[in-house]
Amino acid sequence: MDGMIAMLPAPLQKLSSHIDFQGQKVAERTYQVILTIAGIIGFLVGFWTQQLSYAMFTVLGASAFTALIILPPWPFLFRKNPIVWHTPAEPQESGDKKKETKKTK
Amino acid sequence: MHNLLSRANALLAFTLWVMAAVTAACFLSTVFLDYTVPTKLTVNDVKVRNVVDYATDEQQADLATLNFNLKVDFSKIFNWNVKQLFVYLVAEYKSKVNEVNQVVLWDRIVERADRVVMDEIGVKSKYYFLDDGTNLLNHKNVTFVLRYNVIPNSGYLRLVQSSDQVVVPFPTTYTTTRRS
Repeated sequence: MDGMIAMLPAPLQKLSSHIDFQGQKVAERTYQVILTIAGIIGFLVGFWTQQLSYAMFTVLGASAFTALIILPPWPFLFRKNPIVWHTPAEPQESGDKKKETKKTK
Repeated sequence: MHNLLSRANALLAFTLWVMAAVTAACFLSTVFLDYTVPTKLTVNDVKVRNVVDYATDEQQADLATLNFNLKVDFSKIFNWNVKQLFVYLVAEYKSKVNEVNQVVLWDRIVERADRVVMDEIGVKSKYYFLDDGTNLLNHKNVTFVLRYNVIPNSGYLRLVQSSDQVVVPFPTTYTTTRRS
């Protein structure tokens, strides 16, 4: 997969599709709720029209609609809680940490 | 869920789960339905010929010819879990050697978009009604019955027998002319 990405033109490679942790939770819950409801509606549609294909098209249509919502990394949905990283630690502090780990051993 | 591909993967997997659940619900909603239909079957013009058959020890075999009228309405059967029907006419009789003989005389695939109400008159049998001996002559109890497989979209292949059957006594003499 990385090889395929490397074959893309440079401007496309710079695009990031990553979303933050809170966004991942929201996205997962979103598709679960939409598709479960679509499955129930699809069953009723199929039962009413006596066509299994209509039930399948309902689920597939809902799946395409959900893809529009959760696949692109919409900034106003899934990038509202970016992670704030600490500034890099000083070299002395890292030395202290090494000593501590040795003690525990 | 962090990048595009893993979100697409999760969405596809869950979509397939939902489709499988809807299909299973479709099967459950049709599994207890009654699939029998009444048929009106009459068998006419039964003739029995004696033919040479080198495949059997006796080298003589009874070949029966007949035609039949069939009136049946399958439209009640076709619900959302039925793809097509495989309808076939069976002749059943008992002989000295075999307790049960079953010969398929005619069959037809009935699709949902097809003509599902049949009113066939004077249909000749599609396959040979050939006994493996000389048991058909003067046989008093040859039973004709219509059976059909219900081919579903999901679930198991159901075999149904129509509620009516016809018992026909066979002629006591051989027909010797070439054509009926």
